Amino acid sequence: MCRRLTGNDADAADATQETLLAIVRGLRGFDGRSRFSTWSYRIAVNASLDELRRRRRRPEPGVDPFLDAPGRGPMGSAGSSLRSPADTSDLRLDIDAALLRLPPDFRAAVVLRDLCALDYAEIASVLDIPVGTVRSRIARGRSLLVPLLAGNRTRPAERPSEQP
Amino acid sequence: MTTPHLDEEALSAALDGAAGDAEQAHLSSCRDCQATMAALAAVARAVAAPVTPPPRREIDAAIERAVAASALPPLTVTPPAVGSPGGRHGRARWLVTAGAVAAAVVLVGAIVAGTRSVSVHRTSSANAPGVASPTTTSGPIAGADLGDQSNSAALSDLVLAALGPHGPSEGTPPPAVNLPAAASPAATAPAAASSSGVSGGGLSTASSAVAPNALPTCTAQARGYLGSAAAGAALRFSAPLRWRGQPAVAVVFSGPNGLAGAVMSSATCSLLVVLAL
Repeated sequence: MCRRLTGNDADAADATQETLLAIVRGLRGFDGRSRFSTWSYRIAVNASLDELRRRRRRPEPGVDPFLDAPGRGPMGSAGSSLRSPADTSDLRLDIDAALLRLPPDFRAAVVLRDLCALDYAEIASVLDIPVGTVRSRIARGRSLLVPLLAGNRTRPAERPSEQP
Repeated sequence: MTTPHLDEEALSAALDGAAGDAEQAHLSSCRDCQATMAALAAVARAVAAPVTPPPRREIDAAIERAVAASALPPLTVTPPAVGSPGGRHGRARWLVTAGAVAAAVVLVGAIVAGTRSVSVHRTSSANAPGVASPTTTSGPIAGADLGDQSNSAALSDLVLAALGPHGPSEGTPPPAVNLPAAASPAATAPAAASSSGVSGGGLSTASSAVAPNALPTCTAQARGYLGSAAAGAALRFSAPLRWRGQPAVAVVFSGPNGLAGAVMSSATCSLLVVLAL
């Protein structure tokens, strides 16, 4: 989860380490009002977003090869389509780059739902937001990812509003 | 008679099994909505795909980019400018600098050796394949200031570079890592002391220098945090740095389990980050 939220291995490793340290330090203060997994996910999400904030304050090394490559990229390559999960390296770059274009709140909701398989109520508890907000963030996040991952695919909002 | 399409929120909810009966009924008969939902499902599957580790080549390239993007000069032993500006007469000046570095190491080593909590285990079982034996008569290596760091992977690489491919060999002076002379307290300490007459002046002026009495405490604390990874291991290397702005010290142990290292806060000796060595 940290890997998907931060978008790169180094930041994910730092976030994971911060998460584990925070869990160990805070274990005594864990009051059991939420499930342990929910509490752990909340710490991991916060650690990952903190890592992203820290990253914004330091220079990025080099140029993202995904954005640099001609004919590739989340906004380019008309006619490209979602690839099989077996296309490991390229797919990973695509997903990471696309996820990083989402607002962090949307990204966290989508990752918790699609990667961690939490239900809406659990995500609401982790992110401390209402269930309705979870539902809309996931929907919005997925909709934003569709064109980023699949080229010029028609977005839901661009469809005709009614069917005959 | 027309039926309104489902909006993105309803489609997304349907994907998660949270759609109502009316929405399900529409979905079963509307090809547009089915197509859109299929696209959302493909996105969900893509996000759920496991993260695969990048090829080693990618890692090496990323490290090179990170080093190039940082303010640090290349990994070379850089003789500090002593005497007249220019410093072109390499060999003699380099020897002076090497002597200064060696003197600094002896000074720091003496401080470390004088403390009781830093113990260098001298058992043959501490030898790991490919790692220089800690069972030597020399103490742990006091590295130069590692600068301001914020990334554990980059810092781990820096420490490994300082240790060399097999760790520093016996009797080898510690490498002056990556820093210009002005930023390296170990390299400048003797020169500063000799010119000002103040012993250890170079060490005390560096913002990230470790107080002599903090190192043994931090080393002991690091052993505790590292647990079995540092069990039976000897302190092999220590160097001051700033970790995300706060003064810190990097310590590396070498033992039966190989290398294990951590960055500790100089002020509180609490664990800041575990190094991946």
